Amino acid sequence: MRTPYRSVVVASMIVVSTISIPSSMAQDSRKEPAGSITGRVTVGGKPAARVTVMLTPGDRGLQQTPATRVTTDEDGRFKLNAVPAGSYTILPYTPALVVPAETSFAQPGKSVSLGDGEEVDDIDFSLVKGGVITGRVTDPEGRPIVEQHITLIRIDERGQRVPTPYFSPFMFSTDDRGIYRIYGLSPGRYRVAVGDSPESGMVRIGFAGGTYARTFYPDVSDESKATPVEVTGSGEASGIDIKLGRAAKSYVATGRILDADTGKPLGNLQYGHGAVNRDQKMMGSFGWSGNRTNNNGEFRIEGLSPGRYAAFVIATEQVDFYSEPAVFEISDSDASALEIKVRRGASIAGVAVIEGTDDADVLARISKLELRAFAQSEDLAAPVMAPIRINPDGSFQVTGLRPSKVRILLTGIGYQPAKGFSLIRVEREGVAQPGGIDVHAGETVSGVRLVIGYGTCVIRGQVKVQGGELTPETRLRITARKIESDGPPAGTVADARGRFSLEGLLPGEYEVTLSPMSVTPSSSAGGAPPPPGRVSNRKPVKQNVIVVNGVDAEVTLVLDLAAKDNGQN
Amino acid sequence: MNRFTFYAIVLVATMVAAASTQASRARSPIRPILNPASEQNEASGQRSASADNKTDSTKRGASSITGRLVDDSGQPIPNAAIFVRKAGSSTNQSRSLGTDEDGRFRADDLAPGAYSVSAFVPGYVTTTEALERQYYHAGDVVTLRMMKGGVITGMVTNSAGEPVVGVRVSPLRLRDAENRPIRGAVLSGNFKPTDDRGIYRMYGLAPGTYLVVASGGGQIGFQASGFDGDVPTYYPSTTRDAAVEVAVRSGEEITGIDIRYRGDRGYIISGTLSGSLGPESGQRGVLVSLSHSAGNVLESRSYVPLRAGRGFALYGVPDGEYDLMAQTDGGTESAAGSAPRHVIVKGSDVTGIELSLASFGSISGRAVLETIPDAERTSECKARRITPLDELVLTARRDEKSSAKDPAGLSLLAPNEGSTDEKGEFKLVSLAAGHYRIETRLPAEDWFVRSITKPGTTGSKQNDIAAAGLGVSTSQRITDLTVTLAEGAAGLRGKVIPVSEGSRLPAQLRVHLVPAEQESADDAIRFSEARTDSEGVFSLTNLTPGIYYVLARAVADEQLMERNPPPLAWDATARAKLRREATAAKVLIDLQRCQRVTDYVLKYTSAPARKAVPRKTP
Repeated sequence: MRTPYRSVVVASMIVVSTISIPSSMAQDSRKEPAGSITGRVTVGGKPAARVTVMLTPGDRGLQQTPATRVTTDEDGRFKLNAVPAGSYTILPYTPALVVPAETSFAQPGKSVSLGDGEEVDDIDFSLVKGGVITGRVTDPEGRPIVEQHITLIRIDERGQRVPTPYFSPFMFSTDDRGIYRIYGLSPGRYRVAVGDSPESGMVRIGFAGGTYARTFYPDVSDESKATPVEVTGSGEASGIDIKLGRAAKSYVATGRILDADTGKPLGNLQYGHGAVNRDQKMMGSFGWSGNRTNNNGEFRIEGLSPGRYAAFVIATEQVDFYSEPAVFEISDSDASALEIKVRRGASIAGVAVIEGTDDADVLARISKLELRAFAQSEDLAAPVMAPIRINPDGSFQVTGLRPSKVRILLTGIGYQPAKGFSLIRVEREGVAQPGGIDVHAGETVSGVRLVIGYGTCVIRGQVKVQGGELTPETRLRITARKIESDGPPAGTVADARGRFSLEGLLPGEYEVTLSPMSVTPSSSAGGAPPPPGRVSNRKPVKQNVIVVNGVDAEVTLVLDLAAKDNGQN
Repeated sequence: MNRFTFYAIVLVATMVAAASTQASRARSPIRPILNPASEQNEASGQRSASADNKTDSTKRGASSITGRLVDDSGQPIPNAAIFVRKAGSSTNQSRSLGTDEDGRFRADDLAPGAYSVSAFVPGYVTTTEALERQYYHAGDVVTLRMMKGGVITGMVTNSAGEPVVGVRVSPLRLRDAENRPIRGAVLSGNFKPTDDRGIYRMYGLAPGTYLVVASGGGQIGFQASGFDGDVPTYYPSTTRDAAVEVAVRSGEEITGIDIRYRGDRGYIISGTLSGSLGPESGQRGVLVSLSHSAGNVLESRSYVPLRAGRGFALYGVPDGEYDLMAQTDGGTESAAGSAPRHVIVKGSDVTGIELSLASFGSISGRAVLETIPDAERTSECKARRITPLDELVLTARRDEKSSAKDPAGLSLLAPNEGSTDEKGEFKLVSLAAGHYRIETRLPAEDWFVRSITKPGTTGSKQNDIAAAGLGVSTSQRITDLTVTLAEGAAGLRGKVIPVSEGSRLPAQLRVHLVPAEQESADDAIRFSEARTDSEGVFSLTNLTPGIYYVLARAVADEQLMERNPPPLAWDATARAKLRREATAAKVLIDLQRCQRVTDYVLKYTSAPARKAVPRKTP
């Protein structure tokens, strides 16, 4: 492997949203696909020829099919023909250019809900060339430091950090000459940093080379003393060189995994570690090497740079115990004699049922549904990796729970959202448990019923904007919460024409909410990822609607930009 | 964290595994999709440092391996990561250490066993590619040497001459520095995307001959790319068959390897997986690999997480003849694989292929050691150190001539290697159906292999596995192999010199020992061979005491072209031929129990005229 971080960072954080993405009709090709989408790509106001424009289904997920694509003509125009009805994202693939982001957090582009046989025009993109930051990273003797990761921290006018997604750092590393080059940057101010820091969101796993202390351009360790690099549209900030201090050795943490009741060492367990915040409540990124404890229950964690960590047991399948993480701090020496205590967990058993359909195919999918149990606890807890498996007859059992209030969530089918399925309620001995199930130490809770609804209802809508025009950075987030339901709301983003649809809903009354959000423009791919959206302080627009089977509910939401806002959420 | 979203934390893969050979041991089901970079050193071991020095310790109970990492000029390499991995274990018992300012490292508190030692230095490659993995034991002192790798750089442009931004460019190593083909070459994960100027720069390349490929590999990432599904464009702007080779030496920078990107859409090969699969059997995903039937080079691969379904698809495939194969991840006992399926792509997609996976076979058994009774232990037979039985490493090696080929990329996943436990028991897993030979790495110089046997079907007679090898069929579990080791091995070190002054030795020589006793004439286990170095020096160890013919022989051309050729004596015809030549040359040596001959001189007389075989130009 070329770099220790690549595996760590790539794999360490995938943001998964529980917002149930509306089911797309992209795969539905019962009728002749007759729809079309046209548009134009310009760069700096001039037509952009030979630009690849990609069409991806709105819920692409981990499907891994190549996007449908076309190339713009000499006038920058493109036309996508024979597109079946459905929700799509349209995105010019131009990593060096900055594209206005108009859809979800991680994926820029424009979304279009295409009706059957509909022809949509004017899906236009005005792009600008992104900025570049480039420089060289060396050691105190001026020798290149190879494969060091560069972290960019975007800051606002007041020098405050603008939050960026977790995966931003991994794309940027120095080459064999110590040179790095980051392109496709939105105009703005950036701090440039190299070296390890526990807050960098990365942990090194099983890799014990030297570590460099976090250093900001120009060669300072204190972030507040860093000189911001100004990136202007199409500008290149070069010579952003950083000289690192001497490499420090990395440290080792050793200890044992013990049965909390008997004190006996536990062998053959996998263990992992993660970075811990000061308040010890959240673990940032974490990982594990696959190493297991030996017969003496001993574990060993290598490659630690100074910071605060927790070590815990990793179980990738259901087990009947949970572990109490061992929290430790590394400053300038190894940590030893750590103890991870393992306790027998409580369990929840019962049956899952699907309501609202007698379609045998739908009912048969119950054993494919993935649920997860979250122990809501104030204490630092080891991450839970194993999903709940439902047997074909609907029975299930969750084991290894720490005493707490346990919430069960429906997380999907495979790696896809479970279209149409939602967890309506959790019952214990016939009594609904809206806030979760109280589970005490070692307890076996039985008689739990998970009521899963299957819906095919649809809410379609249109956002009407009055009193002004939306900026290209504004996205319109739509959520629909079922009244008197405990489940998470369905959500989507209105498309480029202000249209939206929410599918796979159960019949009932919904509160539909429109929340305008702003995002910063960013490169479409390969270059720097966009920062996440920020909720604007505009007051959300709400409307209730009743949906029934067989009829699409229509909603019109009016966003009045001229209206005075007093909302401060 | 608000009520609408939460961050599901996902997994981190193992570095230790990546640095050794466990390409398949994905901790995260998504890792193989996102992180093809991890496959590169596993494939060829090219980034592992070579080890060129080891000494046995006389210390009993030592539990440390120490060493030093230096560059080709002998200067220490500080702050590098060293990996110490126990043979036969998956990732368990792996260690990572850092080197200090003097390049030194030390792994303490090691359990008994055989360990491989490698280093990772970004941009560097090993000075001598270890064609066979080296193993070390507690008490050993290791010197690892690395040198700066080569660089290939250039620009990728489209048909209009504009830079192509963000397309990945990968090296495909065809041959090593000595022009030997890389078997089962894999498109390296060591790819570099082009920057905003269309420029790419691949560094840390092991010396050898490469093809340079833009896009391709069929991997579709989490984020859509404008090149997904494209047929790879080979340097300068062509398909694979017309690609131009690029040779690079260590530390050399080859510039101007500019690629005109074609951007043609490839075809799709798709189908379903069936057979013994599922989380119940501890499997998380299946790796589907497509390799060229000719040359056995990987074209594309795809990872199917089982939770997401049983369908697979490979994109961006150009016209051609391929072998398609599937294998579950992990080198565990429950691993399963499919037989290769021949697929021809010509002008259209290929759909509906079913790949049925069956669990792999395994070979297990026991090693026993015949010790020399104390009464017979002469001073020569004093063991230099007490060697525990669990330092023996065994490998099941495909007997290529008699078996179907392994499609590229899959055979590399599982090393088919195991080591004995303290009871001498071993298990070699993940064996695809085929014919295998058992190779042993003995931890002590005073041991030799007396026999490798398995009870015959009739019960009384033992089958001689050392001579014939053994066949493993799909899902077969062979459980009763016995490897008998004995103390008292002899050794023979020496030098080959030309028969007359002024004449020269062939460039590549091999010294063979051929058993001279009539009853052992065809006893494969008694045959032994070693290559000489450039000075003609050779070393044969772990020899069964007995009488031998000694024969020096120029290495045959076909063997020269093999990076790690199988011993000649595996083949009965070759044994007979060796014996004919050896009896004609009539150089005999009687090696007594525990005898170590160190100053042997062998005169080389050119072998009987051999047919001149014109070397094929690849």
